[in-house]
Amino acid sequence: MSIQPVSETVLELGTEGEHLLVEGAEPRAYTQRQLFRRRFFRHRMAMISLFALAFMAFVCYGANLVAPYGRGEQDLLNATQPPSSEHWMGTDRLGRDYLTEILYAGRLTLTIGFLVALISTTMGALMGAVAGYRGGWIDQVISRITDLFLIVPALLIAATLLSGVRRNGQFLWWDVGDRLVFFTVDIAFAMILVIAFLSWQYIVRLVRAQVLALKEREFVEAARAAGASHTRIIRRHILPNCIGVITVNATLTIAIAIVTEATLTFLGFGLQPPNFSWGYLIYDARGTVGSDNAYLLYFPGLMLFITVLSVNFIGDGLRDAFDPHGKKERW
Amino acid sequence: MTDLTALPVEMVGAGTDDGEDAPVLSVDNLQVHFPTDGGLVKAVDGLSFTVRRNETLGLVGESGSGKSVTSLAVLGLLPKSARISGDVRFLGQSILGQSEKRLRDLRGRRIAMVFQDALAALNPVLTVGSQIAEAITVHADVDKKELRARVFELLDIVGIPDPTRRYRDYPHQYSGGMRQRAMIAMAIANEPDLLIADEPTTALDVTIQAQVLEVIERIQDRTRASVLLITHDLGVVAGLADRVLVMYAGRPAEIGTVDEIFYDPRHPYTRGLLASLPRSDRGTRGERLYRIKGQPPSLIRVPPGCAFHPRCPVSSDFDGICFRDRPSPREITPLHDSACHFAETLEDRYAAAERDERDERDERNDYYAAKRRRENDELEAYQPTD
Repeated sequence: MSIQPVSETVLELGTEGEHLLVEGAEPRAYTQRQLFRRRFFRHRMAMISLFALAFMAFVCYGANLVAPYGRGEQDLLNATQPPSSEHWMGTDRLGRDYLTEILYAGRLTLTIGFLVALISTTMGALMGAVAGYRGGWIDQVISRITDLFLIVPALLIAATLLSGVRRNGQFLWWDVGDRLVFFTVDIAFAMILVIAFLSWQYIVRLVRAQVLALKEREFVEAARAAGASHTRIIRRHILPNCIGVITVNATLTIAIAIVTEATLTFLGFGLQPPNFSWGYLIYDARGTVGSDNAYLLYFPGLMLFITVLSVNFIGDGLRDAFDPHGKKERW
Repeated sequence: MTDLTALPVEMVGAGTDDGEDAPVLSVDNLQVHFPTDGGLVKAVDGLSFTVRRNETLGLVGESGSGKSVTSLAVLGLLPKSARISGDVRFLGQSILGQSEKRLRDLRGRRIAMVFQDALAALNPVLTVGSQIAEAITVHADVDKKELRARVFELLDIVGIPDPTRRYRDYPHQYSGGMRQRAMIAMAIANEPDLLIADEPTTALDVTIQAQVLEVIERIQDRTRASVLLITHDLGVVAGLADRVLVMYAGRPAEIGTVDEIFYDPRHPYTRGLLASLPRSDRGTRGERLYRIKGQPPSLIRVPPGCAFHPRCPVSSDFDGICFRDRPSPREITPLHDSACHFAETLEDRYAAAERDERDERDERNDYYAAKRRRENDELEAYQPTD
């Protein structure tokens, strides 16, 4: 999971085919970073997934460039048409091109995923680092709060908080109104906060455990002996050594956030038009199960599936790449 | 980070204003005890010494004799659970009870430490160059260009080849000796007044040891720093130290100049240590090395009286002074203190002990010889009776 010190200079002779060293060529010593890159790039599923996710992000955020039709363009005469050469994913009940709708909806889904991961990881990593490093009552307080958030029914709390936003634009005691964030408004913003608020606990635990081990390491004592302050030690010495755990967890949080958002929206507590996500499209098409129009359900579901799967595979690849003992080729 | 002008005057000027002979570090009756479930661990118990400017004091003792705890006490890095008493003064300023902020300012800038295991003491995920640079930036705001030049200079001083290339390497890409030199470069980055070297050569092979020691010596000449050299290697001490403090069970056994300690040891423990060294100048080839009998005592239950008495070849008889009174170091010659009740008459006691041992051996030999003779006679006198 994390970067371990390697006691000897790491020598890698390369993959099959290139392992026959050229006569006289000295074996190269790789830095941790180079090794990490090699291991990650050789992880095939992760590489495929990385391309899939990059492609997904490109078509969604660049929807205004790549989408075959304009957003929300209705063609009532061609409503609920199954997939065809004009409409690759068919049209919805109002005759809008479903592919276009899905691409635009993907923006919000991805944004929520990335921002939630960013916020909750930053928050969780800092709390975990402080808890693990300082110990004592600070650790007690942070750990108990974390435990509390682990045992509460997160989905119910999220739903409760969000229903307030939907009803009167009120997020707790805070009037969200029409505040603009990125290109999304109110409820999406509230959703990001709520989901982030409910998904930082795991990273706290992971980072805390890691820090507990790290702070006993001699280089931390050496840094103290060099006069470094606690803040500096956490920032310069502890957190960079946790980068593996943090990155892997951040990736997985993206997946969790996307699924949670879809779940909340499907349950009717989340997004609503005009700003909607794949979750909303699934919610909107929930009645089509078993009918000829089930494609309305399957396409956004498929997109969600591909995205979450890609993110998970990337997380796997990162985890293996950060693991210095993992040498074997992986799928 | 730290603006020199913002510091209290006495901390900035202390080193230069004082006379040459004023001690850089003085430790007075230091006691460091750790309460544990098993009892009170007396890691350091009544230790006093001084280190003068540009002087190297070797701190020698077995594992667990309190050497490293002493160095941590000097840096103010002991864990909160430690019970500390006595006084540690650096340039006249007491270190114990100093605020964390003041201590941080001292650490790395005025007092620096070289750790034993450089691989463990260097952060594996940061480049060596950036770690040396950090040693500087912790204490001063230096602009990038100047910082880089300084890092190159430091790497050059400690003898790392091709610094412009190697500063970008990670610790695992360095050899053991280079890592230790990088550690030293970090320690001397701010030209400290006191360099604490905690077993700086223990993890290195002998040729590299010599190089690292040479680096320390060269730096000391250059910066006129004092060095507290913690080691259990008497060879290292002989080569580098001006004076030696021998510790046993957290207590001082003997302190004196290198010559006095090596050629006129006045403590049985020191004698034991010296006798256990392999010598190339005496014909000891093929002989077993001397070893001090027994085990180092538990620091929870230190023997009463002199802590060394259970292992001492010349201790008094049971109920004697060694079992009753804890010896405190007393002056033998002006620069030589020993904490042995019989420091002055040690030579005689060893001679007597040897004589006793010889007598005993002779007696034993006589006994066995007589026994063999008797058995022989019996055998010869034996007549089968069938």
